[in-house]
Amino acid sequence: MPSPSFERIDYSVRTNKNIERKMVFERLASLSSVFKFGDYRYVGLGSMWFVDFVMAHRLLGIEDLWSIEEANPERADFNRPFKCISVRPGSSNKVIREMADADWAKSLVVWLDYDSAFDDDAKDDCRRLLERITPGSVLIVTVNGTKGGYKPKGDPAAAKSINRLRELFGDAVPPTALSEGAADITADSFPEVLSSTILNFMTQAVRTSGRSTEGYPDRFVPLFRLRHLDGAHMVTVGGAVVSWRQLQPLEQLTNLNVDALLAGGWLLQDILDIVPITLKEKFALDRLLPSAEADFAAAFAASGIKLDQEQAVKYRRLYNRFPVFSEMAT
Amino acid sequence: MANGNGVKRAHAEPTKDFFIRMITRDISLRDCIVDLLDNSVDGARRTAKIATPGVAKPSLAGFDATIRMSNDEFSIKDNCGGISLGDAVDYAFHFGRRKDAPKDVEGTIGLYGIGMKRAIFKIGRKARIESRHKDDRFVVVVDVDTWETQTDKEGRQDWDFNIDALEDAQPIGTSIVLSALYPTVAASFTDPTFSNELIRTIARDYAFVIQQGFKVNVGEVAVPDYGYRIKQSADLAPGVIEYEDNGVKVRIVAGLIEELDVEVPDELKPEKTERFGWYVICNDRVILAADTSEHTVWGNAGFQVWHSQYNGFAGFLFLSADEPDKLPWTTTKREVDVGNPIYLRAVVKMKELTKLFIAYTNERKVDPDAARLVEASAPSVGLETVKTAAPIRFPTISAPSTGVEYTTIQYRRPKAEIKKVAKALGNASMAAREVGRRTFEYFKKMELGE
Repeated sequence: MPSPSFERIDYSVRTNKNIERKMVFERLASLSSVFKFGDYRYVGLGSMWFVDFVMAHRLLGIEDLWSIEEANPERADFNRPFKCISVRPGSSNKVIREMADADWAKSLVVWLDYDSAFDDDAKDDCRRLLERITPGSVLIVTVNGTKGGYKPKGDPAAAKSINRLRELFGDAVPPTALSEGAADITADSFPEVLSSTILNFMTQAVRTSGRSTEGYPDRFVPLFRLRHLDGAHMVTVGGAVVSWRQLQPLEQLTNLNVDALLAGGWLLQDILDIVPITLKEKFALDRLLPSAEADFAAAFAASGIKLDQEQAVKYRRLYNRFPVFSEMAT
Repeated sequence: MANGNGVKRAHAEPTKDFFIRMITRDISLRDCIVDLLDNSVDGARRTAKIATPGVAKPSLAGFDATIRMSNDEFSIKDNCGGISLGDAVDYAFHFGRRKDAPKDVEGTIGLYGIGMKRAIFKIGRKARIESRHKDDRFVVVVDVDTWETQTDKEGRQDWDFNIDALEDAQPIGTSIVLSALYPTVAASFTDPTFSNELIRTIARDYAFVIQQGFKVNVGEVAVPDYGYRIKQSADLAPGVIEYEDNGVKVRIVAGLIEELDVEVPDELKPEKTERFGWYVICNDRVILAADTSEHTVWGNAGFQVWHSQYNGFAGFLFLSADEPDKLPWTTTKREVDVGNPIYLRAVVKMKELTKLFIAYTNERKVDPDAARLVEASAPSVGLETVKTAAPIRFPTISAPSTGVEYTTIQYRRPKAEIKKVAKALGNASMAAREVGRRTFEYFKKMELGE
């Protein structure tokens, strides 16, 4: 039986995850003129490390944070970095199901960072949240997007990942999920199909709940579609449930019309799969940056850094978010 | 108001509000769109018939319709011949089909004279209908708010729409563009799952039209040929009944189905349970799909109700008539008029076939594994190839001679524990029954060496 993920992984030092987290909170912070995060509650799965909680508190100014912890709530409580974080014992299913009316009245940023594949429990969590969170609330989900984790309920011998997606999501699976004549989704394209499918499912969950503000249906605006690779392919998708009143300021802020916003025009999309690089390589690369893409290629070739060009180009794009970890003597 | 004899008369004039806000409640948004598609198919049939006189069922190859949906606009555009100016003036915009409407095409789908208007009223407040016919071109612009209040010189309700000439060089066909969408409609149009559901519905309901060459696009997606199939072998064959009843051709095909055509993308196939039951098809348009209710045979007048053990059975009732008003469809074309005598007589025959199938489901219980093997080995053939009347045929299953006796083990464990075991078995979403079976097999292998 595998141990809980916090016993295997120190989440604060996973490079790609670390970059992704920064990108997510930066994007949320950019929406501060529309969403007054200071009055929000952050709900996450803080584990023992609370890395996202620190960012929610510092970057968004959120002062009311809930960490859902099933495996070891006492240890989590000991480790919480701020007084304003409260550990809610139980599964996300249980904690969300038991939320009181007063909890639902508060605007939320929820990041359900599961370390497993998307399943019926995750679907329940998302649906319940999307049906009730106040307009302006944000839901983000991180799940394992590796094809092998998606097998239909019956006999795995004939298992096709497309059938598992159909079983879980029905019409949310895009008609283009399978390339022509293919029997199943390829392992390479699976994370992208899964991302589209979950975002479609979220849009559907908001629409079919019939929720509305002053007679106008609330909408789901997709905001995140990220992938990071730290061992497994993890996908992070999510967006905001907004009322018609919030659509207009979003249009102004993003310079996009409603159609484009709802179709994912404001999606933060990226694939974060930088390999670990040494401190020496990092400093050498940093000395070349910032630099335009065309200039960088030449400068890199002349630098003598023995990294793949492809990795260097990726680094160039993300260098100012790239973390440095060091040992600390206490 | 009293007449000369002092007898009062009750007002029975219709109101526009009834058409704008009431009859639109009887139909789903999806079915309204499908109604507009019916007009395109009828146009294609009309044009094909004129082009190839004497051919009973001309090919519809080359005809297509494209549906587009966004937050601000809906459109359907086809190349199916357009509406002639004469038809537009006298019939196309009339509420309800006029008695003197020309019967220019046989075997059409549209018959009530309500589909287009109802779709406009259901979807938005503004419409622009452009028609490019071989003889003339015109445009009708409808502003529902203005139309609702417009009156004639005497102050009476004015029901008419203005028709203006259209002068351009665009290809022949009809274009309907709807805007000022209702908010819930706009929300549906921006939800990809609505569009996917529409594609699935069109694939299923227009399969027999698409097989004739007609093409439908929803956005950038071409609706695939659904390809209904049925199992046929020496041991297993569908029952086929054919007859004519007062000008309606009736054809009933029933038997076991397996998989849908491999060419159809998997994600457009309905889930298994959505495939089984009875289908009713009027003039090639599927009206009821995979019905398991009393609208067909199940639980109808004391007949056996549907049971999941019947998963695998499908029956198809095809009704075709040159005069569409003889067919038992309702205005939404999503239900059958269950009191229609032609339909009632067909249901009697459908029950006969279903009874034989139910009897087989009982007979096969003596050795379901053997039965399953025979059923699985029977190939599937396209429904259109099953043409001649034939009795339904099932394999003969006899009790196995090995004398193995079976019993059932049942127990409860916490859901979370089962999930953990399922994950360790390689599939976190494995059904609990399968987890039980595999752990039993594992024990046998490890402890008994079997």
